[in-house]
Amino acid sequence: MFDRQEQSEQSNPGRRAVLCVLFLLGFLVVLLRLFDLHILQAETMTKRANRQHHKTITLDSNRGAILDSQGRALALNLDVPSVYASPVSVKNPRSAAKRLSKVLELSRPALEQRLRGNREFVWVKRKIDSEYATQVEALSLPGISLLKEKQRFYPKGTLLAHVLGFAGMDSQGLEGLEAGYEQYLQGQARKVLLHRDAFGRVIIPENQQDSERLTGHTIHLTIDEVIQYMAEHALEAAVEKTRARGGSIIVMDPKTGGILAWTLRPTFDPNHVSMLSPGQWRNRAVTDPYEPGSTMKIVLAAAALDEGHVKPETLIYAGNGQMPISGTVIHDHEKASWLTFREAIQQSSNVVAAKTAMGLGKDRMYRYLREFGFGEKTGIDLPGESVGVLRKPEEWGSRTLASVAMGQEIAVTPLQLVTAVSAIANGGSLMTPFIVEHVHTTQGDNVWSRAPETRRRPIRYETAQTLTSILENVVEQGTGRAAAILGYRVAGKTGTAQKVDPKTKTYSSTKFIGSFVGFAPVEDPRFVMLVVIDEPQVPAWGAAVAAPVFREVGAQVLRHLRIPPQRGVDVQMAAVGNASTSMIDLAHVSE
Amino acid sequence: MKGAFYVFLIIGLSSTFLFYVWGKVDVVRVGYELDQRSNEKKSLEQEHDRLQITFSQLTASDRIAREASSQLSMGPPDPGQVILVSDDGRNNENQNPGLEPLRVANIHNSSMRIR
Repeated sequence: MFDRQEQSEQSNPGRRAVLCVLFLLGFLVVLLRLFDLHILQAETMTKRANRQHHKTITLDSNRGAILDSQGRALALNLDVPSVYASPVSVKNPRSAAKRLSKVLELSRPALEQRLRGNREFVWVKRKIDSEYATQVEALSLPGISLLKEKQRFYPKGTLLAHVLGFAGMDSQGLEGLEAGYEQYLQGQARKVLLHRDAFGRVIIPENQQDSERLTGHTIHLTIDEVIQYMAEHALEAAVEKTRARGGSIIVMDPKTGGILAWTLRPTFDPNHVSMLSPGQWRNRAVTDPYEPGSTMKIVLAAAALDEGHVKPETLIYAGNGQMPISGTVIHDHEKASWLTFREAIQQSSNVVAAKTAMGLGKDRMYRYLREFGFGEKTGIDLPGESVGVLRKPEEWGSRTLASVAMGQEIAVTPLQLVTAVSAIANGGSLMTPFIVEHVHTTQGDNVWSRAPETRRRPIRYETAQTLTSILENVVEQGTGRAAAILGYRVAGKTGTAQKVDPKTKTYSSTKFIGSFVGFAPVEDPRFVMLVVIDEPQVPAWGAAVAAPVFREVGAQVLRHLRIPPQRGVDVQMAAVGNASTSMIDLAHVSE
Repeated sequence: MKGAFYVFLIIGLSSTFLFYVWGKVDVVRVGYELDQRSNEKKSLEQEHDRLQITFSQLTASDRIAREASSQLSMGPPDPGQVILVSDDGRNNENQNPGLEPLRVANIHNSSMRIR
């Protein structure tokens, strides 16, 4: 026993030396590894560490809201889930694609291909319903995650769709105001560096103050949602009743040029545009000119009166309802021999219109058309505006002057027409129409605001007054009687235009556009409204299809704007209301 | 004496080191809290956005008109059933001098039409 201990003590120096060498070798290996990691692979390792501890995320820009004149929301944003994958972390792409494609209704082979590879980020499906998101979460697939993205949402559905337009998948404005006011609405997307711990938790969150700056500005429209609804509702009913191809209504404040309502049929829902074609969302009231028909006699009358060529009581021979010109014959729907100019406009006489225009001459007629803004853009803040079709006098044929007076051989946009009539309603000032009143930040600071802008004065104040009285006669005794609003003085003009048959290139005998443009109350016009009904399948006179729509919407608008009816008409109204004995005038009760 | 100096030196150095570590740990702790609050804020903002959209949908004119018509049997007033009286006093003076401007509404017989 003792000998064994002695022997082991004797062999210790050798063992110790071996152990020391082993330790030294061990330390050397560690040292070499450290050298390798910290010096030789420093760059790679630093990158890897940064990738693990730092995360750069892109903060979505938040588009600004669009509100109506009363602050009611027309376009907002909503956080919706999107599914993305990190293919490097997807363990079994085949199985993951199979399960995901079932939930998200995607093509399995295409998804599988996307999930393979070494990329760190690929979209699987963006902006999905929350119920799908819950199902994806329940799958708990490695490498598949969800994040929230901003989606544009139009809470009123189809209301004002053509004006608002819509935004795309990446929150960029693509159509309408969304595109036109992109510079104000679009917030700034920003990359932020986050520090994470070993569990992926964020240690230092992004600066919250910076995130405020991401939101775009809020824009306020001149549109009143209630008036807009009235117009949409009435147009929808009229188009359905007349089985028309479409229609449009524009309501404008003649004093400022601000648009109060703007609707088109057929319409679309900007929340679901992926299945639609551009033709369905095109704002046809600014992009598509049409031949206005007799509503153009308003401009003719303005020119003739302003030039002193005629007076309201000037007698003009109406040719018993027909007039030959350049191998064709112009007809009136009512035969008359002599008419005063006032009566001629009241009855919408084509013969008198043609004669008056010929007396004026093409240069003066053209000048007034240009003065009223035809053949040029109105300058409205909507994209895609057309100038219409107005040829220069030297390009006019022998019949063109007479045709233009009747609203043929000239094409105007509904907006141009309503702007021109506004110039008569407001006493002679051609305004620049606009739809955005002001822009402000989310904190309420004003960024930009618009003041009403007068482009020019095409006619004198006195001419506008005289013409207004003639147009009032049209509604009281003439072709526009169906537009009369009980209790209010209304001025306006009907129009019925034949459409050109694209096959024969001649005027169709079956396809018409019926329209009415007018304003009320005459003594202090608060709105100008144009109603256009395209290809109604019932008798197409403007008076029959468009004027009743004007009356219906006009009456509601006046009530909404709280404009009391005229004195003396109350009695008329009371007489109507007296059918109900419960009609009580509280003023009398209080006496 | 020399021993005491070393003891104080060690205590001092240890305290400094501990204070430094405590500071670092606290920064991380506050970071976590901030992140939590930040997530709460985001969540509340999302809820606010969602409620704003719901409010906007519920107050849409077409919905109100539809509900009023189907649930409450309401309809647009007939001509003459709503009388608006000028509230600027000028027009009203000529009609009913001395009377307050009024907006008159009436209930039409026994039907549920509310003006």
